[in-house]
Amino acid sequence: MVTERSGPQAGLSESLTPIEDQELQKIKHLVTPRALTGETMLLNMGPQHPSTHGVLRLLLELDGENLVTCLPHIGYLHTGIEKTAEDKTYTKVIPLTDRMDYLSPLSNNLGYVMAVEKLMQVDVPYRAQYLRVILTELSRIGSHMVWLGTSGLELGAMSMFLYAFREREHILRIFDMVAGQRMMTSYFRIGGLWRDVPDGFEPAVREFLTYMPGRIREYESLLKENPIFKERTKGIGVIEAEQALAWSLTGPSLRGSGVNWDLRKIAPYSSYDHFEFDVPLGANGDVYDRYRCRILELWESLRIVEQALDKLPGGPVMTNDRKVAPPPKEELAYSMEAVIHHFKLWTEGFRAPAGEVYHAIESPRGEFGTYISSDGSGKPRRVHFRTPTFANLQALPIMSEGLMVSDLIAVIGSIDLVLGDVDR
Amino acid sequence: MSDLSLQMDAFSHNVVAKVTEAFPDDILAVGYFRDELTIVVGQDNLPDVCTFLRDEPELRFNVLTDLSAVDMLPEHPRFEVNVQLLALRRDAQPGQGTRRVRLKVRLEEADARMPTLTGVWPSSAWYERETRELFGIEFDQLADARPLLLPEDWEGTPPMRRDVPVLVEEVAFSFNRERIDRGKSYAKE
Repeated sequence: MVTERSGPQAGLSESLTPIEDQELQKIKHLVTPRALTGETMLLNMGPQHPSTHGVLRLLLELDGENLVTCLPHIGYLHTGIEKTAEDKTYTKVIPLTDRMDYLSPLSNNLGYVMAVEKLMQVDVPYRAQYLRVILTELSRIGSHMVWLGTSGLELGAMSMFLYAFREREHILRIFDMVAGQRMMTSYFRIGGLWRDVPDGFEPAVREFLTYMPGRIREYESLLKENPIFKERTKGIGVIEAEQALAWSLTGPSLRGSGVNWDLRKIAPYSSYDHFEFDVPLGANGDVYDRYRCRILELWESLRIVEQALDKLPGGPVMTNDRKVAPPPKEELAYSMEAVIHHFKLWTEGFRAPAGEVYHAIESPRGEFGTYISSDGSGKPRRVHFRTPTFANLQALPIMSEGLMVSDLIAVIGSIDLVLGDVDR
Repeated sequence: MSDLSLQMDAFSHNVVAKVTEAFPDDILAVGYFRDELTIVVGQDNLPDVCTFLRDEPELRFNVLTDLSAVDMLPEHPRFEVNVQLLALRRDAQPGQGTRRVRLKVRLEEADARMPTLTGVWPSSAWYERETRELFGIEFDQLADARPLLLPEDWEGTPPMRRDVPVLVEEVAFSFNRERIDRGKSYAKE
């Protein structure tokens, strides 16, 4: 520990082991000269810190309690998903996508399968499209619940955490019902869904729809007019619209700065244009506006789910293109073609045409893009995921300029980090 | 080229026309696949081409959404770096679609370096750091070139290259753990 500092580096060099000295050399062009003389303090926040949402490490240069420099270090959760995907058939990549943004796995599933569908030019039946919308919107609500709970907790509203996780439990039960899994759902398939939803699905979602609005109102009354919460979030972590665009922010983090950009609205996919909803916008680009955007998005998501459930068409949930979708089990008994298709799909998968596609969807955190480069074989040559929080986190030093350590906690909460999504 | 321009939508058409007019020598090829425009750009004037795409009033590609590389092994040139650009209009109408373009830079293995785009879009920095460490592609004048995702003591071939197998390490079980541990760089003695 550094106890006293007399001359330049005096206390510091005694306390530093040689490795830490090397560390300082590596970053000396990124911190102010004052850090080298020991005038300001270099402090690690994380990777094991309760407010960093996992394993984010921030190297902070502090002048007292004021932030001078903030250097995010990521990669602690890097799992090489993109590399692993190169060794798998297109269908087998789906379970990997769950494990990136583990708070909204269905959004990742959707982004990936839609990119492959674009490459393969597969049409998805309307029933499957509607069910995809219902489930991704539910997962948006579930993801926002975790954000609301954790960022509330960090700002001292501890009961928020307990309430939000209670509500998320309803959603996870619905996922369990349809996919057999609470979190790593892998429910969407290229060309549709794994199977149709069970009978209990619609009543369960309806029950959730009647139950949830009262709860959201409760949260709003807990936080919106809470003077402590307002004090800690208003005017904190401001990012102007132009700067937000230069730093490639997307999702609520961008809309909090007043930029009207939601891919569900601008470039509707999976029948989003069949539903009416609004895109909540902020104005000041501070933590409070980002918070308001997400809370209002909960209402819009509920609206979308309700409309989709009302209009839910019947019919198949899987394309009948046998090149990508397995034949129904009963056909195997009498159709030779079905047996061949089944065999082909289960041994080598389907072959995608050579070429490259990029498809983006609006995940709870922003633009989730999937880039696929195909060489014409049954496995992708390259899969790259453009994950929203990777770009959003990069702007953290910009947002936290000139703040204090306690404000930084609020800013981290407001960009809704999921480190699995950052590191992939 | 003429076949392609028949398929293209008006905006992509305009992008190609404008950029070829301004940089006739730097635009090497144009592709259009699944309604996505790809422009292959030479690396020498890349920052200028990007600045043009960002500032030209009719194009205004103001957001860099993504930058990543593809290892094309065994093809030549070996690497392709893809830059995904988005023209984000704040007055965009519902349902009008997104305007995107993919810039592609082809790099030989022996000379796998290209200029940084951080001067045009600051958000390019982390994408370039990621591409640098995972593919071994150098970005000239990238201010902060520390490793991003990999451990700081990572050694060896950049892991995303195709000649690195997916599984490079023997899986440790209780019966072989000690032997594997002895071979590690962190093993003492």
